Amino acid sequence: MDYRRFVEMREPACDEFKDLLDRAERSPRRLGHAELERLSVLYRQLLHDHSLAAARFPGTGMARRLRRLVLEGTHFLQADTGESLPRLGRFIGHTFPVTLRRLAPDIGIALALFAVAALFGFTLTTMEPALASTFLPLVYLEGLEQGKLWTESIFAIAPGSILSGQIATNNLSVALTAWAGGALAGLGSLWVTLFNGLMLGSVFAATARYGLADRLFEFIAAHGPLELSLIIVSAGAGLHLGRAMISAGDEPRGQRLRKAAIDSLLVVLGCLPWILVLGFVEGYISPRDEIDASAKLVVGLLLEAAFLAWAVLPGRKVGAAP
Amino acid sequence: MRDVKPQEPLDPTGHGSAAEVLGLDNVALDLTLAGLGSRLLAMVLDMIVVLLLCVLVTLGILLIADTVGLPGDWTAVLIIFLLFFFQWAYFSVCELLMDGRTPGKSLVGLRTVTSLGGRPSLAAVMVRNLLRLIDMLLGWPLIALDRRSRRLGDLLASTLVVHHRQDEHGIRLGSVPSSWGSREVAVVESFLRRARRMESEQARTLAERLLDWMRRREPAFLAQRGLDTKDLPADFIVADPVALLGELLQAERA
Repeated sequence: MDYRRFVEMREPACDEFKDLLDRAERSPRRLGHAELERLSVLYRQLLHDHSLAAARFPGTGMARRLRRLVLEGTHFLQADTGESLPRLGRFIGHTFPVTLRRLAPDIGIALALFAVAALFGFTLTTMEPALASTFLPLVYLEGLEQGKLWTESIFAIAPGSILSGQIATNNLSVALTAWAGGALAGLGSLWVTLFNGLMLGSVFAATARYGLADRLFEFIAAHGPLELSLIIVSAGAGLHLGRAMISAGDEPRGQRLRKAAIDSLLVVLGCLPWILVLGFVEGYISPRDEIDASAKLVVGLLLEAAFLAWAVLPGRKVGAAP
Repeated sequence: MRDVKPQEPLDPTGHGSAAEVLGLDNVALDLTLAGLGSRLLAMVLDMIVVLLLCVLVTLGILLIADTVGLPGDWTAVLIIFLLFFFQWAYFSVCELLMDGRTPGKSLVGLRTVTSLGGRPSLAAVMVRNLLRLIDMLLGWPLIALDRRSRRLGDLLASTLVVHHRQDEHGIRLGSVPSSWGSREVAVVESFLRRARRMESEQARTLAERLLDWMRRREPAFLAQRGLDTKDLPADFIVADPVALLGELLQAERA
């Protein structure tokens, strides 16, 4: 077939496809069933025409036009809809809890590593107090020597609102980094887990040495339990991602990686709103001396219980066989 | 009438430029992958945009807070959260709203697509953009080494970054001599497409050579278009040979 006849024959199809595609891109719902069928038939035809033109008439206007139309059509028709994020109601009632439970082994690993690291940090700093300076800034340690927690001095200066904002954005970044670190074959998440565990253990050992552990407990009672849970869950999600990178299992690696990335991201996204709430608690409730320690503990346990209930309860089949 | 022999693809190894993306029915799609250079450029441009946005938004909030009388600490909180939002969400939000592009990508002419050339889902866009933090270090060598120029975020979200020029308007010839094959058409079309951006002296010379070639080879065609070759000056000195060439061949913007 010569070029001119090719153009004459295929030009109308191009125009029709362009028109349908423009309208579909503007609002797909406006197109009727017959028009959508026509769009997909034309797409298939033009795909083959574009291949023919690229081989037989390279560089011509028609080949360029077909290429442009086909790429545009592919972009629209091959849109990635399979693993899109669920709607909010479904996310809360089903997706988050179910996905989180599927990631439970990885979160368990993160929890165990965190506990071991915390214990190690505590023992190490108790036996060798000088090590505390590895994990804590010297200013804080000097404060401890004078019988003051570093938290007291920070919260005396800045207003609660700014502290809340800074704490919340900082913790959001930590959670997202703990997850993203999983992309380094899990090493980043591992680091976040171990470092935070070591630091926590070491801080408790250092404060206990100066007899301030009860004051530290009082300070973290309201936000501590849930904050630790959220960091461990985010790091666990990162470990899930890292594990998928190391061993893909039976699925093709690309598919497995993508699924692990999206699953673990969903879990981290579910944690983010809680971090905002915790920012508020840490800025307004934790530093207040006038609020009783037991009241703070109740707030902390309630928050933790609410999160755990959300993670454990919804999305189970009612009346499923045991 | 002649047909042109099938030509070799521009890059048969597929190294660096063409992605071996097979579409429906295993037809190869001609997606042009974006390499290290253009992606780095887009990234730098985006960084500048983020920086400008941060400065402008901060100034805007300060200005509004001043007129509305918002207390200072809440103004600070608002700024803290907006800066956080720009840091983590700028790329995702842009790629979702601008159909796979960010301001930087769109200036360089790049677009994010799925590994099949389609529009990526919200989940894929978030995965690839929340992993930017890691890719700041690791991503650049990966883009340089990977056969399909993917960084870690692209690998995990199975996306590609391709060249995509929206303004790729070609010239199409409405009427050509019957002896012309697609090669001749392609030559004249690409000349007319580029003529506007060439130095006018160069464009003139090339147009004159093409016209002269047509006068010697296709007198019948010229006569049919109402141009007697004998009327034309010997060395084809007309006012605007580029325009004459386009007029003769009924060139139109496609």
